[in-house]
Amino acid sequence: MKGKGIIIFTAFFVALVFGLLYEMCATNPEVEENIEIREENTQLYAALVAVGIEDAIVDITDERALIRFNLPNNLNKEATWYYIMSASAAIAPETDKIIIQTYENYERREEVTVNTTDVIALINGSITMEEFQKMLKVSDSKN
Amino acid sequence: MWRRVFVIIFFVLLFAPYYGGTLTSVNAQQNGMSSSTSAVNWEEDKETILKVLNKVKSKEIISDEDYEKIREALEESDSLDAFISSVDSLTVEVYLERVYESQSFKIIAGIVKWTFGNEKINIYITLENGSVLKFCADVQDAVAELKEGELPNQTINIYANEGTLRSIMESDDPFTALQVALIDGDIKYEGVGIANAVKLALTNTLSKAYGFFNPSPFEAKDEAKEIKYKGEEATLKISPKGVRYVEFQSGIEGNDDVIIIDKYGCERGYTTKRNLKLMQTDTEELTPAAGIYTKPLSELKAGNTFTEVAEIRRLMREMQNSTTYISIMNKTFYFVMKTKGF
Repeated sequence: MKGKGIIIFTAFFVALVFGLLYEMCATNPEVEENIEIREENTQLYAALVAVGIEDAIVDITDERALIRFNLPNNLNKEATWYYIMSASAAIAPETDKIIIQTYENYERREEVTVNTTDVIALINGSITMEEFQKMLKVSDSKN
Repeated sequence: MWRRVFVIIFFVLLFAPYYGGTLTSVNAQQNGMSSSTSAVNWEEDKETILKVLNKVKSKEIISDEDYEKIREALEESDSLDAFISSVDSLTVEVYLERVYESQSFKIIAGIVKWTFGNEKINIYITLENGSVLKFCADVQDAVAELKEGELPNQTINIYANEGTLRSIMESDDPFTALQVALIDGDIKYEGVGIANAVKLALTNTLSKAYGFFNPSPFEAKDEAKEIKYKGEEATLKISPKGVRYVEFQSGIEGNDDVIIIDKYGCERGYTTKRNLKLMQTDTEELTPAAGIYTKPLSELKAGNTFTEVAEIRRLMREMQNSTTYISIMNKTFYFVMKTKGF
């Protein structure tokens, strides 16, 4: 009877040690377990793919729509920016701003930032293109 | 939706070791976020349930009588809801010895038998709408009776939520996913009374120890890991934002789609190897969901045949000035508003 008690206690102790060991080792802070995938990311990416931009990271949050893309050789850079701004404003109108990060051959180039409401105002005709272009913030990462 | 989940849980949790790839059509629908029970879907579901049922019967896990009752209900139903309603009041006897003999249960059969043998179990599933689905299992030696409702004198309570169960049923390997959920505490179990509480605590510790020595194939560390996914040789990696993804070793040329998965091995989204390269250039500003899409690139490329888009593409290649820019913006904006996306 005493021997049985020792066996049970030993089994419990060994299990406890391994359980604690597991608790210590199992947590891997590198891995993200809760990803909230937004449908708007896919919609905007589909818009980019439609004009030939396949290498693109779309990351929409409530605050901003961030679009990072690698510019294909056959596309005009500025035309692409206006296209992305418009598609983003239509797909995620509730975001405060649109940030476009341009890459060429996976090297970072310009970053364009604009308020989503300004894009909608231009499309509605509330402001002119000249006024709109003054609202655009273009920073060149090469400098 | 929860009723659909209920019937699939019923089959997946009990018969996971047996069904192999037979739930593919149900999984495909779940991935497509479809919860409708149209005639076509029902026919597919019916076929899948029948396959599972036949397999379970061939392994003698349930009795011929129960098999006939379920099959009859299946044949007479014209939708999944109708089928579930007809089996709601059904009590099914499950011959546990047959389950323990299976390859998947071999190592842990002893612990499972010791923990759940001769116990009265209430199972609570919290659904996404906040309501709780209750069903119970009365385990007597080698037979478990499973039905809807609660037992007043239960000895064990099991708690799970709809999201976890959905991940298990959508996983590429539901049995492993079930183990992950148990070990990680996403499915919780507790004993009623001191003796059962101690017993369940010990089981919990033992299962963690088991998990330590037998890690899930979807447990990802920093380095790449060779796994089997959807029956193919694949590599499990971690993205620069700490997200698990699987890339296939024998991909189609020019197609660099990769699949984002969760810890259960459940498909969560898609990206491409080149997008991961772009992500790697600067991860600071990005959220973990950045660059993860609900459709693979190959599918998005195939789906675009709109003439309006061809016109926008033409404009983007023309000599540019303010008029062209405005034209591109207007055409794009109103096209998206009209079609609700691409």
